[in-house]
Amino acid sequence: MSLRCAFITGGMGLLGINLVVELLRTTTARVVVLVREFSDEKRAKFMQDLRAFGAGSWSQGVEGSRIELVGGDVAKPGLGLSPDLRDRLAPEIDRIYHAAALIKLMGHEGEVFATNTEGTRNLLDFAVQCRERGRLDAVVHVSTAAVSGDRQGTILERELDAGQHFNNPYEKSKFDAERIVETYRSGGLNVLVMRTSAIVGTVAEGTTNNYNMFYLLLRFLSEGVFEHIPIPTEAHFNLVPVDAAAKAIVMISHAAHGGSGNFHVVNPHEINVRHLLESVSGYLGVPKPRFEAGDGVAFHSFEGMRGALLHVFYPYLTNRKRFDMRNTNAALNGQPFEWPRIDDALVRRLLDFCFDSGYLRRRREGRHETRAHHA
Amino acid sequence: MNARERRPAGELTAQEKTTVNRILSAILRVPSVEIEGGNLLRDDLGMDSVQAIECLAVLEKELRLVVDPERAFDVKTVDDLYTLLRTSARQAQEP
Repeated sequence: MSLRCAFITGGMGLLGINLVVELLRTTTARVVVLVREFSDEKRAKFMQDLRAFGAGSWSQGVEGSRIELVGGDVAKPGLGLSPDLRDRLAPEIDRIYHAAALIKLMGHEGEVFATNTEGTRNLLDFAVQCRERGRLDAVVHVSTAAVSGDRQGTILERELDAGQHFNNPYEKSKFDAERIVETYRSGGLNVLVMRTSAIVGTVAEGTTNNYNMFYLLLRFLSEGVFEHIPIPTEAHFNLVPVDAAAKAIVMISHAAHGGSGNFHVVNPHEINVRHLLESVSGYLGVPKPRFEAGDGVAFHSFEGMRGALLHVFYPYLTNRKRFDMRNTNAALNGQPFEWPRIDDALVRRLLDFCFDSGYLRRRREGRHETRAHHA
Repeated sequence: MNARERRPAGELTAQEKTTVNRILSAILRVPSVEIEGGNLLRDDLGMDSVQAIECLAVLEKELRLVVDPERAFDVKTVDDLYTLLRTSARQAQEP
């Protein structure tokens, strides 16, 4: 099926904008982007980010003919679309990419559920209208590998509820969203669920427009606030550069031919957490945290504000899950795609972008001041 | 593991206040001389939620304090911050 019109939520976000780039680059489809609190400033920001992530001759002049920005809000019934707009769009949309989400690991619980859970319900209601009135073949629902909560061991793509507990409201909200997806699938809607791991900046430049979880960790590491963190030696981080994630998701969505399924969009090349923290600390010029092995950490030696922060990050710093990628590998088999390796050089590029953007502040001393000498 | 002994909260020393202002200045990118007790951290100094946590975490480390995260919500001004830090328990110095 040749894609003619794709509808995207979360198109201003890091993954969303890269999905737009990938769709523009690899298809001839028109892309309709739902934007909350739509304004001229937002349009300008969207176009600026589009060029930052999708620079290339293919993008010249493309926005006028192939991109339509529409005002709306996933947290509202009917996505906050006017009836006229909904009536116009519903028959035209072939595929929906639902990337809108609020990624907050601390606070904002009400907003998190409104956007992530109820927002998904509102989106799927719209999708049903698109299917009934037009040619919708599937919804691509961007979820997270963190729906697995506190589970350990191997996590299968077909699994969702294994009785797990959740480390924060964000994880629970995304789990609840997938439960809603299951309901709509039972009603005949095709939904491809893409569970990503932690999304970071682009492979080549480390470009990002969002500084969530992994970046918050970098921020606090750069301040040297974590003096010691108990981390098992085998704990690993799963990071996916955003351009690779977007490419994989779009390729999988084409290959799935409008069916339903769950896909772990996670990087088979992981980085050891202790090595990562040592490498990052060295590049930042701050003392590396002391590592104490073992689980069942008692935080009596790490209280107050820093203890509260460590509680937030700790599940991700001690991760030993393995994500089955059977469906993802089958869909990507034979396609021009390679998962990028997360090595020290890539991590330095991510950090350099953070310095250049001002997200991380430079110190007067420190090895990162000599980054010009790094390749 | 060294036992941590709590000492009662007390006044911030002049040096500690200088440290507070220095850290606020660095994180918020505001000249230190422009930081006054009555400044609203968000509206006057532009502090966002991440910077708020960052400041408290760094100050906790630098001043060897234990800051109750629940009390952070009450901090609106620089003076409030001094009060929070002044009334937070101190950690014992490690040998």
